[in-house]
Amino acid sequence: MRIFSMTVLAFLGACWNSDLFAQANAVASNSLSKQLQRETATDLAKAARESGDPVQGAILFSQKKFNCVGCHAQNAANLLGSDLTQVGLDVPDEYFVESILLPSKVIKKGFETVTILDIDGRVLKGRIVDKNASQYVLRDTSPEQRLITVPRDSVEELKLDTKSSMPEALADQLANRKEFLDLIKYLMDIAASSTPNTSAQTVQSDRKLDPQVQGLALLQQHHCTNCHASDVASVSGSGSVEIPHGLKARSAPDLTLATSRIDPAYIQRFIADPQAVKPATNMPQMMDNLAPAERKTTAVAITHYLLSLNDQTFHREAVNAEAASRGERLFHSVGCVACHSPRNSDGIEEIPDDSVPLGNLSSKYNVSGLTGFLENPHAIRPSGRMPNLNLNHWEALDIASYLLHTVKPSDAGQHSAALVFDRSQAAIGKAKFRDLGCIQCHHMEESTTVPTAIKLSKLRPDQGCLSDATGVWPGYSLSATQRDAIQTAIGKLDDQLSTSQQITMTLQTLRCYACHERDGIGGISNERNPFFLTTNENLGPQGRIPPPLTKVGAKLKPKWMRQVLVSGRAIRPYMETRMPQYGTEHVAHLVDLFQQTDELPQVTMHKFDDPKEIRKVGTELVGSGGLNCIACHTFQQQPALTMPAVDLTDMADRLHKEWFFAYMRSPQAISPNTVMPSFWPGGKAIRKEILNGDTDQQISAVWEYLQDGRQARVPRGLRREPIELLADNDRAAMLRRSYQGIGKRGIGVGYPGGVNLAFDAEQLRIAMIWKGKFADPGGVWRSQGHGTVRPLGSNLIRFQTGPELDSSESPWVVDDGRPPQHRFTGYFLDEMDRPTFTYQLDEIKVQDFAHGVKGATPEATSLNRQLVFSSNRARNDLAFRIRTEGSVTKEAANRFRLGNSLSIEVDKDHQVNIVKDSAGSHLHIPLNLPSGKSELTLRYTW
Amino acid sequence: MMILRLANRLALSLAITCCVLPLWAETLGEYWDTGEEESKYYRIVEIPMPEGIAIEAGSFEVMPDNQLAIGTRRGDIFLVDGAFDKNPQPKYKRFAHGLDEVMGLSYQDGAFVVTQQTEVTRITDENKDGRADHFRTLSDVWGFRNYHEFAFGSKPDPAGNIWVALCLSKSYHSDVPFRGWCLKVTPDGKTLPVCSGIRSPCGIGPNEHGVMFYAESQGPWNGSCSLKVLEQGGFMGHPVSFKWYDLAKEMGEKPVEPNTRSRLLTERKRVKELVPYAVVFPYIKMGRSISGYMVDRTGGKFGPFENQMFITDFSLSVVMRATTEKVNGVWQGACYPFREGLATGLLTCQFTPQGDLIVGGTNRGWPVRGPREFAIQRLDWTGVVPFEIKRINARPDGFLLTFTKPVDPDIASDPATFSMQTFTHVYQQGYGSPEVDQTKPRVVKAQVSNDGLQVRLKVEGLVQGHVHEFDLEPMREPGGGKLVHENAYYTLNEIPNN
Repeated sequence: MRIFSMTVLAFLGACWNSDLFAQANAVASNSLSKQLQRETATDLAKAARESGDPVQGAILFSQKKFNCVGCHAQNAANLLGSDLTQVGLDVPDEYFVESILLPSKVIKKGFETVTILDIDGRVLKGRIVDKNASQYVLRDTSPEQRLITVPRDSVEELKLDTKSSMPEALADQLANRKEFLDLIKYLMDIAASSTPNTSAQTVQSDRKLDPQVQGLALLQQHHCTNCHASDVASVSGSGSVEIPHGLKARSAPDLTLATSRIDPAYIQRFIADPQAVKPATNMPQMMDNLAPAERKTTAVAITHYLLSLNDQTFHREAVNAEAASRGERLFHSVGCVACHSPRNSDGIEEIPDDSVPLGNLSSKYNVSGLTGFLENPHAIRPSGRMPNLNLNHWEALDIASYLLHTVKPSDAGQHSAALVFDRSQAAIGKAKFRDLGCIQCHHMEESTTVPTAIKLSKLRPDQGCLSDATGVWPGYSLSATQRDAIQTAIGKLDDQLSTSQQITMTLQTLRCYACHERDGIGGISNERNPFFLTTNENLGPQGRIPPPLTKVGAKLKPKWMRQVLVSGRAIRPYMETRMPQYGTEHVAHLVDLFQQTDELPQVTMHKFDDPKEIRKVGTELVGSGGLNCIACHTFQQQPALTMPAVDLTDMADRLHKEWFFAYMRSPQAISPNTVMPSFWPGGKAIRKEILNGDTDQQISAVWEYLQDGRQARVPRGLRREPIELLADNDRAAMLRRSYQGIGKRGIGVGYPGGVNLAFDAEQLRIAMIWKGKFADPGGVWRSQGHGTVRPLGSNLIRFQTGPELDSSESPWVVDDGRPPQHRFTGYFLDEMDRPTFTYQLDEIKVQDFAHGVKGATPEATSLNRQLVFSSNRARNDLAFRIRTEGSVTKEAANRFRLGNSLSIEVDKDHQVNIVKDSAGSHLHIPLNLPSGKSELTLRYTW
Repeated sequence: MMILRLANRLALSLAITCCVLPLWAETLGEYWDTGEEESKYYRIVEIPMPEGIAIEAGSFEVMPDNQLAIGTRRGDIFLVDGAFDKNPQPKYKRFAHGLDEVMGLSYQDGAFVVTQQTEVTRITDENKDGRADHFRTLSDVWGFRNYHEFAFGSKPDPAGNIWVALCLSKSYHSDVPFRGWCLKVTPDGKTLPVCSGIRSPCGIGPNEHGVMFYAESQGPWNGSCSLKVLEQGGFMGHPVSFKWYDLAKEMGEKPVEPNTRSRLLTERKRVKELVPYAVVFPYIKMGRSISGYMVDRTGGKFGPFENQMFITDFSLSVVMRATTEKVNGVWQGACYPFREGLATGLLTCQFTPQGDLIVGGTNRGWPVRGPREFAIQRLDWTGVVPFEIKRINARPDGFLLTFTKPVDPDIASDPATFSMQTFTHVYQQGYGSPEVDQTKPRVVKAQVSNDGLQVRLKVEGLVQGHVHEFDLEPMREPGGGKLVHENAYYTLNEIPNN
C-alpha cells in the first residue's frame, strides 16, 4: 500500500504539474501576461505607482473572475492567501508585480499548499491553516474552499507543493496594461495601510449551544408548558400564560380540517403509534400505558371524532408530473432543505439524520391539502416552527406535487382503507381526546385547557415523560442529551435569561441557525451548502448564503428589521433561498432583543459645515470619479451592470451608522462572505484627492449622501444595459415618440430587412431614414422619458422640416410649430405590421405607405414609398417636396441624387423639378390631382 | 436681449433641475406604519408578469370577456387572461405597440379609445387576428413639444366623451396650445374646451356622484396634491394657461389673474372662475403624488367602502380613499389612509368584476418608495371588516363621522376622543406650500347614534377654506379594537348653511 501510494502521489503530482505546464504553454505569446513580462518589474511597479487608479483596482480586486477576495480577505487568517494588509511596509514595489505575473517565484511563508493522500485514497490539496497533535485543518483549493479536517492518522502521504495556489496567468483576465497597473496600485495601497493584525483568528470551531437554552427550546418545541404550568410567571410579570424566557404555551396543529387534507387511515395509524409512522415526530405517544389492541381502537375512535369536525371528505388527487418537476427545483432552492432533507432523483432523503423528518407524505396528504398547508402553514400549525416560505399558490402546488409524486407501491394499499364515519365512535373519540390529554396541545374551539399537570418547577427530572419508563404520561423520544438539557433548563427556571440567551433560544426554537450563523453558532452545513443558490454568481458567497446575524442588531435599524422579520421584506432578489416568516408573535420580540444586545463601538461621524456641499462630495465619492460604488450597487432599484449589489438608496433606511462605519473600513471583517473591496484598507483612503484623503470624512460624506435615500442624487457613472428595439423577420417594429429633429410627434418604423424611417406626424413628412438596426428607445423608456429615440444602424439621412405635400406657390413658412392646414388622421397596419400613414391637407386625403425592399447588397436595399391622394375635386396647385442637406442633381430620367449618397427615383407619371431657393435646392414634384384617387411612387436608395 | 437670454437660461436650468434631477427639500416620506394591520383586511396579491418584458402600467380596462387590458408607459396594450383569478397565473398577449405613454384606456363597441401623449386614438382589430391594425386619430389638437406634457384621459362619460387633462409644459409653463387645460373629445372626434388652470394632472375620472374630477399634484399654485372638479368654464388655479382663451372663444374672457402669496379662499372671491380643490391630500401624510383613482362600484365585494373613491400614489406606493359631497354648491370632501406597502410607484387602478382592486405602475423617473421597477398587484378583501372611519360629512356646526363598525359608546361620546386641527396652504406661484394658519378647533359634543355607527360632532372653531385634520387615537370598538387608521382629512371649502 505504502509503495503504491508514493507512486500514486508522484503520478498525481506529475499530472497536476503538467496540467499547469500545459496551461502555461497555452498562453499565447502575445497574451497580456507575456507582454507584461517583457517589461521589467521595476518599470511596471513605477508605472503603477505613478498612474495606477486604485479605485478601479479595488473593483477589479472584487470581481468574480479574479476572486482575489476569496483568498485574500482582510482580517481573515485561515484562507488560502494572505491578508494583504499584513504584507508589510518594507516590501519593495516589484513584489506586487511579481506576485501576479510570477506567483510561484516567491511563496509567502506559511501560504504554501500541500497535497495529502489519505488512507482512503483521497487526494486533498490545500493550505494547512491549523494543526495539532491529532489533525490537520486544510483550506482546500476547490472553488468552494472548504475547511477540511484530516486526522493525522489517516494521512498516508503529505507533500509540500512548489507551485503557488495563486493562478499563473491571472493577468490575462485583465483587459489591458492599464487595468494591471490599477490592480497593482490598489495592492500597494493596501500594503501601505499595514497595521498589526490585532484580530488574528484561529480556526473557529462551532460553539456549542448553552444546555439551558437548548433545554428551554425543547420545552417550547414539545409544548411542555401546555400541561406543566410555570409557577414562576410572576418573575417576568407578563401574565399567566407567558413564563420567563419567552416560553409560551403554544398550540399544536389545528385539527379542525385535518381529515379533509390528511388521509383518515394515516391519522388512525399515526395516533396509534406516532414514532413508528413518522420517526422523530414531535407528537408523543399518548397511550403508552394501553395494550396495543386498545391503542388501535382508541385511535380509530379519535379519528372518527376528527372526522366529525368537518364535513369534507378526503380525496386522493392525481399529481401533475410537470408541476412535480418544477416543485423539485423549488424544494431544493427556496429553503425547504435548510431543515428538511434534500432528496435524490428517486425521492430518497440524502441527509435523513440531521433533518426535520417529513415522514411518508404520500400516504398522508392529498395534493390540495399539502398545497394549502404550504401556502399558509401557520393557519394549521400556529407554533410557527414550520415557517411560511412566501410561496404563492402555484409554487405551493408545485412543491406539494413533488413531495407527493413518489408514491411507493408498498404504500398504495394503505391509501384505500377509508373509514366510514360513525357518530357513536366519534363521541367516544371526543372523550378520549380530552381524557388522554390530546386537547392540552390541540386546542379545540370549545375547550378551555389549563395546564393541570405538575408545575414545571416541581418536575422530577428522572420521572414521567423525562424518564425511559412508560406510563400515563406522554411518551417522547428524547435523546439522553436532550433530557439532560431539559433537566438543566428546569433546574434553572428561576434564573432570568440574558437578552443574548433569549435571542439564542428563539433562534434555536425556530431553527434560524439552520441558515444563519450568529456568534459562532449555526450557519449552513457543508452538505447543505450546494442548495443555497444565487441568480448572480458575481456576488460571491454573499449572493447566496444567508447573512450572518452576529451584531445584526447593530446593523439593521429596528423598523427595517421588523419589516424583514414580520412582513418578509427582502432586498436580495438574487438569493434563491427565501427568508421565511414565522409569524409576528414568534419573532417580533427579536427586534428589541437584537437592538438591546448588539453593540458596535460608537462612532462620531464627521460634522460638516455645509450639509448640501458634503452631499455633493458624497455623490462624487459614490460615482465613477470617486470610489465607483455605482459600478456594483443597484441604484434606485435598477441593478448595476456588473452585479446587483444591495441598493444604495436603501442603505439609509436599513443601516445603523456604527455598522456602516465599521463595514466601510473593513468589509470582510464584518461580513466574511462579501466581495466588497476595502476602499480604506487599514483605515487609509485610496482616493487621496477628495477631502484630503481623510478616511473619517470620506466615510461620513458617503453616509450623508446615502441619507437622501431614494432621493439621492444620481451619481456619475450610472450605466444601464442598452435596450434595442428591433424588427422581427416578418413584422415591423414601431414606436411613437420623440426622435431627434422631429417635434414630439415622431413615429419610428423598423422594417424587416433592415430599413428604417422616422415619420413626423406633426409636419407630415419622412424626417429620417437609416439602415440596419432600428432604434434604442432608452432616452424615452428610461427615467422620466425626457430624451429621444436614438436610431441604431447606419447611413442615417435626415430630411428638412416642413410638410412634403403643400401648396405649390405659397407653402407654409416652416417653423417648429404645426402647419395649420395639415391634419394627421392615424395609420393602419398590414399583415407585417407595416403602417400606412393617413393625413389630410384641406379636403385631400393621403395614404402614405413605405416599406423596405431588401437588395442583393446593403447598398441596393431600398425604401419604396407609395402615396395615394384622394380629392373630391381636381387640384393642380399642390406640390410634393423632398429636402435634404446638400445639392440635388439629376442622375437619370427620373432619378435624382440628393446630397452625397441618397438617390430618389420618381415614377414616370410625374415631372420632377430641381428647385433652388434661399434654403438650398430640393426636389419639387408638381401634383396634378384629379377628382378621385391618384398615386405618387418614390424609391429611395442610399 | 440680455434679459431674454437670462430668462431662457433660467427656464432651462429650472427644467433640468426639476425634471432630470429633482431636488427634494424633504425626505420621501414614511409609511403610515399600518401595513401589518392592514394586511388582515386587504391582501396584496401579485399579478405575475412574463420574464424579460417591462410592463409599466399607466392605465387599465376590464374587457367584456373578463380579460384585463393594460396600457403602458412604453406604449403597449396588453390583454391579460386570468388576472382576476384567485391565484393569478395570467397569460399576456400584446394587442398593440408603438404608442406614446398610454395614460387612458377604455374599450367600448369593439374599439379601444386610448389617450396617449400625442392624441386620443381609436384602435381596432379589423382583421380579427387578436392584434390591433387600425389607429385612427380622434383628436390631437393640443400642442406637444416637451416630454413632460403628459396627457391623461378619462374613461368615456355617459355621453361617450373622453376628458383629457393636459399637463403644463415642463410642468411649469404653457408653451403650446392648451397645455394646462382639460379638453373633451366627443365620439365623433370633436374637441371641446372644458377648463384651464391645470398644473400636473395624473388621474382623471368621475367622483362617486358621477361628476368628472382629476388628481392634481403639488407644485406652483398648488400647496398640496388634491382632487379637483373639472367644471365647465372653470379655472383650476394655475394661471399660466390663460394664454389659450383666444383659441377657445366659447370659454369667454380669460379670468382675472389670481394674486400670488394669497389664500385660495381669498382668491375665490376675486376670481369667479376659480374652482377650489375638493379634497386636499396633505403632503407626505397622504401621499405626495396622487395618481389614478376609481370609484368602488363592486356592491360590497371590496368591503365596507362602496361608492367611495380609491386613489393611488406614485411616490409612496400607497392606496387611499376619498369621499366627496356638494356643500353650498361647492364640491368638497375628505381623504383617508387605506393600504400601504405596494411594490412600485402606482399610476393607476381598476376594480375587477370580482370586486378586487388592481393597481400598477412603475418607479421610473421619480423617487418611489416601493421596491420594484414596475409591478401589477391586486388588493383582495379578506372578508374581515376593518374598524375604520368610513366617511366624514360636514354639518353646519361640525361633522358627522360614520364608522365601518360600531364604536364603543363611552369612548365615542367623549369629546376628548376627537383631536382636531386645521390648516390651509399659501396659494402661490412658488412650488407647493407649508401648512399655514393652523388653528385648533374644539369638539364640544360627541353624540353616538343608536347603532353605534355614527358620531355627530359639534365643533367650535370650524374654519372655512381649511383642511380639518382628525386624530382619533383613543377611539375603540366595544371589544377594545383600535382603528386601523386614526387620521382623516376634511377640506372645508364651505360650511353647510343649515
